[in-house]
Amino acid sequence: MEHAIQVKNLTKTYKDFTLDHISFDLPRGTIMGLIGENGAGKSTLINAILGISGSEYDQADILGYDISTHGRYAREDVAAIFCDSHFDLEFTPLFLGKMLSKVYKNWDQKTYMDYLEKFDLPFKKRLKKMSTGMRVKVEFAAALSHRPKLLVLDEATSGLDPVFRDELLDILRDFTEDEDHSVFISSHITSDLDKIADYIAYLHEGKLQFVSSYDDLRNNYGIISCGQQFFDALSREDIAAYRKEAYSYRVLINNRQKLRQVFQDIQIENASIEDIMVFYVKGEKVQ
Amino acid sequence: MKGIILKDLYDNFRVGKNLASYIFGGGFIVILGLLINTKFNFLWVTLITATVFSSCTIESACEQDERANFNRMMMSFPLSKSQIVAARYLLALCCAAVTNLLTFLYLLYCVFLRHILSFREAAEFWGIALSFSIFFSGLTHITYYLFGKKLATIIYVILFLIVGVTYSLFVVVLGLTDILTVNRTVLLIASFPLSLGFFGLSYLISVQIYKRRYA
Repeated sequence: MEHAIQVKNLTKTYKDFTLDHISFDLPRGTIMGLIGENGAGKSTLINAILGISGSEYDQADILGYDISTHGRYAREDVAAIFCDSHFDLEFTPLFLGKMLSKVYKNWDQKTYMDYLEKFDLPFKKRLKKMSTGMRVKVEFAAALSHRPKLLVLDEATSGLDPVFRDELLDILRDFTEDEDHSVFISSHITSDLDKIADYIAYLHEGKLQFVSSYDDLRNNYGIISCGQQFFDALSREDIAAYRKEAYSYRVLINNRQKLRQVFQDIQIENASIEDIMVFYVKGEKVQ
Repeated sequence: MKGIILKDLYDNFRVGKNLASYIFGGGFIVILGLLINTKFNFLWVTLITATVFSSCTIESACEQDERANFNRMMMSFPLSKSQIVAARYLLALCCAAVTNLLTFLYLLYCVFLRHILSFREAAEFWGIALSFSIFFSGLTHITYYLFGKKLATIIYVILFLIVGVTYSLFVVVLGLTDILTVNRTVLLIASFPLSLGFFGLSYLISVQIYKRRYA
């Protein structure tokens, strides 16, 4: 099994929204960031991948298991943390461990207690009396204690301060040190993905715009500011999107090396994931 | 499934307000049962206790799940949707067993200590109350899966009032003597398998509702 997630032509249709023929692979041992504006379909995609909601597909495997027929076997090795679904706030971390030990075959109570200690979390305090950050730490401790091979995070770091998010990113880095471990993370905070993602998948209005390695994005995408004449001289296929400003154009290019060869003096800014996302959503496409 | 059952037990008996309502309700029934020693009261207490406590675990579990949107997380566990629903039904059966065991102890108290009615008579009524509690539990579960906590609680209270009013009307219109002379053996033989059958059907319906809700 080379891939943690393999999806081909996954479609999920609601009355007012369609997740449209999504295809991508997440290689084992890597982190894929899923980006997209609100309502783009990120949570829908995650629900479909985890088998929480049904979908139609040619192939949808997690950890080598088909999600419809063997989803619950796959979920034995999957941990999910959601921004909109949590453990009961009346729980204590101690009870949570007891409960999850009955849920997961691979549950390791010692690992869980070690994480609670490492994160400096009180064992017997109810979650409702903890700060948001502490609760998220409890969720991470719980998620990592049944030795999952795939961690799925749906906006799990939103609402947390930068220092705390940085701690969590360290946890994810530690987690993926094992080549068997993979992370699929959707986040609005694209700067976090800049720090950890190996791959980026961009979802817009239910359609996957691209899946690319982070290095390819950094190497290929760039932003140039230019006038009308230069803009007209650019090859249309090198322009991912552009934004017209008062007297100039801001152009997101997708073939940086080629452009550099053709226009040697041109200044090309690095494009962050956020830049790319904003250009795709707000920019115009060339005909 | 054990994890979900454990969670629901925690929601019911370790969450302060839920535990308080059990203590309050249970205490009220115990006082009622011990103070008023009539046949009418025996029937009433047995029926109410069996029905309420056999069916109310879903209420607290549902409330806590909705508050934390826990269903999404629960479905990310290595469990099928049928197993998630089955856990609730198993817990309901366990609660029905415990509750009916307690009402059986009350039966022994009424028969042998207070001499309110004969053992046979009491046991037949106890059996009918057991059947009704299983039937009502099945009905309650469907209601909660179909309507969610808020609306289902209102319906639950209405259903319960209907049961109470119906029972009281029977007593007023037919008289307690006539109720007591109903062929209870036949009623018991018919009602127990029917209630179990309905409980099973209720599970299948709830699974379909749950699957459809999270389709």
